[in-house]
Amino acid sequence: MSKCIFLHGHRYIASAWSVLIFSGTVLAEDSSPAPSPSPVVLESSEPAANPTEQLNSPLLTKSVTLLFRIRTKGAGRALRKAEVKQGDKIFYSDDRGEVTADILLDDSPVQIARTGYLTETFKPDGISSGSLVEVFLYPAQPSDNEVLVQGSRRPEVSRKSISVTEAARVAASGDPAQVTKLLPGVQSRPINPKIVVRGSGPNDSGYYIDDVEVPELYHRIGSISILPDLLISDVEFSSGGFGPQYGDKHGGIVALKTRNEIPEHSISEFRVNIPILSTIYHEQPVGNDQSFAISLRRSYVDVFVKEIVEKQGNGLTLLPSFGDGHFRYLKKTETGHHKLLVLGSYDQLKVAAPLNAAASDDGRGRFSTRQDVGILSYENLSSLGSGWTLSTTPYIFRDIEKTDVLDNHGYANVTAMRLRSEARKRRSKDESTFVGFEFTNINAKIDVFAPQPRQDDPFYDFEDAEKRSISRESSHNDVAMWVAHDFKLANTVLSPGVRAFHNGQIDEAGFDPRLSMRMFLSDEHLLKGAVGQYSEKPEFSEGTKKSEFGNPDLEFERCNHYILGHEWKISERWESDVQVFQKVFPNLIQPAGGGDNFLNSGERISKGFELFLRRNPTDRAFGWLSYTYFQSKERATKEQEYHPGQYNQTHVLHLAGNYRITGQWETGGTLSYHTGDTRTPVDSAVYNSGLDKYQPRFATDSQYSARMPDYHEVDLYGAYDFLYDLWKLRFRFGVQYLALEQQALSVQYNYDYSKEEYFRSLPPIPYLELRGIF
Amino acid sequence: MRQLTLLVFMLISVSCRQNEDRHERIDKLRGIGVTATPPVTPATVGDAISDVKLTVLFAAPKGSAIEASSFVDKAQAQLKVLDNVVVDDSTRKLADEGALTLYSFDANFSAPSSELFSQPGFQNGVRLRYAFEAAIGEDEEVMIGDIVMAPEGAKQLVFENPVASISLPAAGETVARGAEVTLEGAVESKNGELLKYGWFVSSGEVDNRRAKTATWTGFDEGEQTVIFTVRGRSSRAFGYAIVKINVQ
Repeated sequence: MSKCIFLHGHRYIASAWSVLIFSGTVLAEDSSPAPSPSPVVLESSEPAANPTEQLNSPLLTKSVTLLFRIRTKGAGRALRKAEVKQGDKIFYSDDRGEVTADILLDDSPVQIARTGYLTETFKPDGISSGSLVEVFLYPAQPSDNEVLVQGSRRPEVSRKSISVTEAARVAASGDPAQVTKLLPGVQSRPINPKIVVRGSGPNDSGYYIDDVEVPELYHRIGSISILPDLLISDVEFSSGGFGPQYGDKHGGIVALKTRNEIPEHSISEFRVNIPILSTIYHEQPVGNDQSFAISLRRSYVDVFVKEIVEKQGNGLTLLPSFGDGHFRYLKKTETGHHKLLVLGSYDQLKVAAPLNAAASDDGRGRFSTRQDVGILSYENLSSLGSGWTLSTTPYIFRDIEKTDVLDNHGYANVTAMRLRSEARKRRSKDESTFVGFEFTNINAKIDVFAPQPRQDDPFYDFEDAEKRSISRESSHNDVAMWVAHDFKLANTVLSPGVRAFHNGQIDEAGFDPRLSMRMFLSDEHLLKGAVGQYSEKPEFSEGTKKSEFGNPDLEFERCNHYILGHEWKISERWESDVQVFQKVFPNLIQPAGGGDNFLNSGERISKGFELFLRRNPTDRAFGWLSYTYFQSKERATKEQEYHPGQYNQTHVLHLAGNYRITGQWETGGTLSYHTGDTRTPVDSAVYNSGLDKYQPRFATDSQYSARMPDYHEVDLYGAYDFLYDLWKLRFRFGVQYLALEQQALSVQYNYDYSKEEYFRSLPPIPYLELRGIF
Repeated sequence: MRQLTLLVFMLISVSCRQNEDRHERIDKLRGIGVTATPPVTPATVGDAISDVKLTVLFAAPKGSAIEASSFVDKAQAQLKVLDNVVVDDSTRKLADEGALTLYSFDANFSAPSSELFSQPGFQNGVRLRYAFEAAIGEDEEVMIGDIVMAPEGAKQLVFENPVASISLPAAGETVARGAEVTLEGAVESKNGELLKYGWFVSSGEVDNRRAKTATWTGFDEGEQTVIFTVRGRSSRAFGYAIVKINVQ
């Protein structure tokens, strides 16, 4: 009777029923025939012709022939080129992680080793010839020698590329899409996952999944992105100076790049984050060139919140929930790929609370909102020959929102269909030509009964405002084309480009010229710069050509970017990026009176300095230091004096990093420092007898003249992998919101605005996440 | 998810806040409300002048000497600001109501011409802004509000001010200090609009001053005063009721 030996780290278990030996062929438990082992014997050992011969050899009276099956602990993946070593004899495993080895039954130990894994040792006492030895090697501390290649497929002056491995570890909530908040040029806001980039507002940046523009990239309630990290490979963020392939935004570009690799094995994962949400995910390869992935996420925070809130007994009802589902099909071709993405998400919030604005017998105000977002996209990347590649992405984006607030309601149903295509002619490493085209059809249905917005009224109060009912359907088309050409002059790559466009919402056309340059001073030093115009259509609520609200005569809001930077490759592991920038907004859309509602009358000037010092990622560690010095001023009309800008955060500093202590332990965290946000102080208050409440009044010359206090924040975490033979359980734990000076999120006033206090951020909150990975 | 956590935290924090300053507790000079007669006024058409009477009510702790006057609130550009409000000095009245002093007076104005309806944004009605300021020494209170001027034929022109009463506690009732007292208001209104309620008390706290039925706790000993107010959500029509109770 033969034995099967299981080596589990520093212990092994022998059992007599796991393996059958039949005519010299080793059969595993599942009865699938193992291949004929072809052990390689180095030095003094002679390779056996085949196992059967080896077993019958009279020379083996002092040795046994064992079949080693060597796999990774925690995943069960076969380890090829693993060593089975006894004395000076070394045998190497094959592609299935198997090796047949002659083992002497003496006191010399047998070592099973492979680079990147902890070596296992055992003494082969009492083992019968022909036994199967199952070995599961624990991972060793990852290597710090090999820098993982980072870089954008299309370098730009202010673009940073962060792998999902890095982003998911240090970003807020483990959401890779929010890693941008830790990068230079970003002035983040506390209650908004969207970012403020170099003085452009949250809605002035473009959010993409591959080539699909997703205006609602983040869950409104959950605030995490609607795409789970398991589908993402990289996060690319450009804080300005981007090329003409992106339009209609003058802030930054956040692009989540989904994975394009076909996995060797199926991957399954469940994730339990307490107390927010759970995730299940499965990716299945089909042959060598296709795979599909499916995932579902659902929050259960409503259950916990309901429990907490009800115990407070203060009449508050709060039911937040969100979830999403995804299906992705990927087929690789010789020259590209086909990619299909189906995505659906929802966010829902119901609140009932004692409310000053309530007009009901129980004195409670009710608020409910639900948003459903759906995306269906197909991406085809193929070669056209002669150096030309073509990327084509048709997609449909749908956003349905329904909101009820007190006795007001709003419903919006927006469907956008877009065809985006870009051809690239690659002439050399530094020389390419890009030609792109984008056609968008937008259909919107709106049904609103709500207070009339009067944004020019400094004393506007929604409770006090005149209500208006609007019900209408609209449709318009947007068209854009762009051309860009990268070419090299001496040591400089120049990239001129232009984007021409027509927007149906305001029935206006325009074109944006852009130019960037990258001058290679040496292998270590790169000088770079960009200048360009960036046009953005008005928000829908600010004006459309055919609508009865807003101003139908608004023009594109324009912004000119000026950037100069220097990259320094300090060493293989360290590099820095320093940039100075200025953004000029000559015709900022501003609220206005006199029936216009909005005018292109404002001006804003933003300027600053950024430093990004990066410790390039290895399997063991990564990290970066990000600092932004920023100044912004603006005015509503050219006749007014400038006042501080809304997003004028002078100093923003982030330190982020992660270190793998062993193969199973890792730790990391972030440290942030922010200058406090600007705010407009309350000058006085009046009692409105019609509403039975006090209303604040602001001095007209004090806009954004005050600041919240500066704040720090530290997030720390650790993770440990419990490794089982074929799967692992990752236990991640940490504390968020450690701070010497907690962030002031807002100013809270007493009932008559005679006293004010800051509403501070959360106290330190521990969290726990479990991930089962198969 | 940080934002969601913050939202939950903020809502719980706000709803749990035990602020020492409470709107319902009249521990300094306060505006209570303005009764307009009629609550929704027609415009002046030719020689047919449409006069409106405003009865203004302030409150303060007992024994306060209150002075008040009308002024023009020019801060609100989106409204028709009244500059012809005249206080009728003969109606000024200071009255002690339990632990409070109530100060009331009448003011009158003539509604603007109907020509105003031809201006952009005013076709369906015009909000007329009034403003009063009162003071006890250096303690000042500015009270502003709107009267709706509706065009001829508007259904709001027949609106009436609601009639408020307090069912609980009964006037003159004696309650023990430290007890929880149920406040229950009653309203008669024929306007068919949403109503906004509000409680004022001379001491203590009301758990939800916007509820028609609420709980009053933490009041002082002695004679205490409770005021129940009701306002039309769209018309701003106003009514109130007062009871005094004894706390032992």
